[in-house]
Amino acid sequence: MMNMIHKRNRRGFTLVELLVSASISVIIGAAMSFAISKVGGQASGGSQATALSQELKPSLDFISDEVQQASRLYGLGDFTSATLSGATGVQPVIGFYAPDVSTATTDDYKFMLFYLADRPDSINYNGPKVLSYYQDSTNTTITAANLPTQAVPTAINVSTGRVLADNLVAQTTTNCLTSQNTTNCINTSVVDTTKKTGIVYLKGTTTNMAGQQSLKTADQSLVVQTRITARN
Amino acid sequence: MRNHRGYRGFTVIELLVTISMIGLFASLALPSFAGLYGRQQLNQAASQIENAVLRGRTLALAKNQAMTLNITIPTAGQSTTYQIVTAANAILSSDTLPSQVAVSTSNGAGSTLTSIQFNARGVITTPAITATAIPMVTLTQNSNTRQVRLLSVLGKVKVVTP
Repeated sequence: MMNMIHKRNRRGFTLVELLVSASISVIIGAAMSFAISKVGGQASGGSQATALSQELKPSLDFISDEVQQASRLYGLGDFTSATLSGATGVQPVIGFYAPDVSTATTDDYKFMLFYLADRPDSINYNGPKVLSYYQDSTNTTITAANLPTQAVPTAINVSTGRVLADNLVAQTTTNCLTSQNTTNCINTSVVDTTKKTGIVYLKGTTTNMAGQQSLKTADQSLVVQTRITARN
Repeated sequence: MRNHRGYRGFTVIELLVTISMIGLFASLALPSFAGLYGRQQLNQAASQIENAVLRGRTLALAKNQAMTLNITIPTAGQSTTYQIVTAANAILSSDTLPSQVAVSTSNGAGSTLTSIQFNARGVITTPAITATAIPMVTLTQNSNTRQVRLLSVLGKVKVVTP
């Protein structure tokens, strides 16, 4: 009898024991992987936002560098009568006349426009909007006396515009002059009455796997801004 | 007889079944490992190009002068060379891609891409990167392809598997 019991103990696990323990470990594993994937998702949202602000910063630096050559800034409210073509969903951010350094004539200016446009495809760019800049190929002659009253060009074709950044959301307001805050003025600029200084706001969005704007409001709150000054 | 049953070991049939099952699983798993080294080398080449673009921009900004990233594609079977040079043709960085990786380029406007030019502020002036004309370097090894796409004048690069 003693010998039987002894033998039984050494026999190892029964099939039922193995099946039960295997199914328990599968259940625990599934619960763990679900919890870990949730943490990972949150972390990737956070790192996307960090990457995005790092990406938008050079765009803002580029804008403020270019603006320094300008004499007068044109904000969103100055483009209401301008016809914008060359891309779908063009929304102006900031524009100005910059002196053309390639010619000796001092009165030669080229118009430069920073704008948002719909992303043309889903392969290359993320987010609903892409930030680009366009520089007029022809010179506009502006004398110092005319400069303060010079209007923006009536027709702007941005088909040759160069891309600066993607992952941006669309503008929601057409006039920021009266509401200078980051809630209303996103991806736009505010230019003060002297037309010499302004603020550029850029609002990025983290994206889902398809590169479209994330629907979570927490993912859409990334706003970077810079104060720009026309020094010329 | 019963006492000795536990120590009898495996029968030939059991061993054969086990070995043949191991063989079966191994032959199922093997094809997915076969291209591993090649794909690894291809991804490595793609990140080499990606890093070269970033380095070109960084050097232009750091030295405050225009930089050019030249990509020289030789005849088939030879290594592609890429160099970062200053406007005065001083070579600041030079490297090669693995010779097994075939390279072709496009400037996004129907021509090849032989150089990427940065101005003194690190902005890519040539090729023209517009939203609809994306310059790219295409890397191919065996049947695998990676496209290194230039997405913004500020040096944003994306590696795509077409």
